[in-house]
Amino acid sequence: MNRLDPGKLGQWFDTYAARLVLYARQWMSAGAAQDVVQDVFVRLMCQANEPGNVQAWLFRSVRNAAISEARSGQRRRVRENSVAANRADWFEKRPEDLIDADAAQKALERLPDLQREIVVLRIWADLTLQEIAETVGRPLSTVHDQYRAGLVAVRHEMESSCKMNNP
Amino acid sequence: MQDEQPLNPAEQELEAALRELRPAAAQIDRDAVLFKAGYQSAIRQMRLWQSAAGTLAASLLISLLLPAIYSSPERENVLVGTNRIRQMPTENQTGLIDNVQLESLNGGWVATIGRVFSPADSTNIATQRQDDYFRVRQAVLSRGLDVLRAPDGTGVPRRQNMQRLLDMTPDDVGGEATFKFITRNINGDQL
Repeated sequence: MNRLDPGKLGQWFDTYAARLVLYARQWMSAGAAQDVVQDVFVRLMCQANEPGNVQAWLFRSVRNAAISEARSGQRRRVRENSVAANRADWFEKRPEDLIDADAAQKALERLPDLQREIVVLRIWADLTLQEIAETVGRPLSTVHDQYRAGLVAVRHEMESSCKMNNP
Repeated sequence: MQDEQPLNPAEQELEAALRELRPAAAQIDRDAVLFKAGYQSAIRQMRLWQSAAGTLAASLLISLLLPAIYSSPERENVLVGTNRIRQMPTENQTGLIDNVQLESLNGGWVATIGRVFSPADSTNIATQRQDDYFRVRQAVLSRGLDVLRAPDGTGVPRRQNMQRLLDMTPDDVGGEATFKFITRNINGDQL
């Protein structure tokens, strides 16, 4: 491992901050997720050496911090989730997107926790299935199966949503 | 690797469409995060240096205190020896001068190092000789000439030499002849 280069921190922040917040939102509100991400970047800078895989380190650290924070503030999380659920969107709304951002968010929210986490890590964190398996602490085969199941569930959810909106 | 297993076309299409979605921008003050990270990193490094400096300071302090602690018993011996000479001896005490720890003044590795690095060696030796002279003189004045041993170890004082000794003045004691005279009358093998 190399000595951590302070100049890289800004690049990492620009590249991963939004994705990390999206990932942390699996467990908490937008505000709490941003606090967790901020703390993780500070901790990254305090590392004596640069992690071998910074991207995987960031997502794994956010996961651990978010789960820990969610456990410590369970009641607060429930309250904040109910308040903040409709306040902050997961995705930017752009007209050129093939999928409606709100529909995708709703479909993801209805997934089981593990499937949602794996889909987010695979698609928006761009981790390999092996890295995802190491991050979530599950076998690679399980991660692969859950990923495919998650995609199928999202597709069904969005198809049903389209049918309801356009009967 | 299972990562390479292809998805079916429908799954690939959905995956590509989902990838087009961009996560909402984080409402985090980028500059504040970078500043905080840099500050915490600097604090950490500063604590590292502080702990290193503290360790070195503690080591230095210990290295200064240890010689003082270990050398104190030797100094105590010297004081005890001097006091015993100056005290009024009992009749049973014989050969009291033998207890004068002349070498103790030079004992200990700290004193050895001090002698090696001291530029004023000759001054120290002259001072020591003067101290030795006064010890012997004090002993003789307190107990008489019998406290001195003859060079042959018979314990018979040489009154002529003792008379010369008592007639000496402090101005004479710095001379080499005086020093040899004193040491010869005390114990020839101690210096």
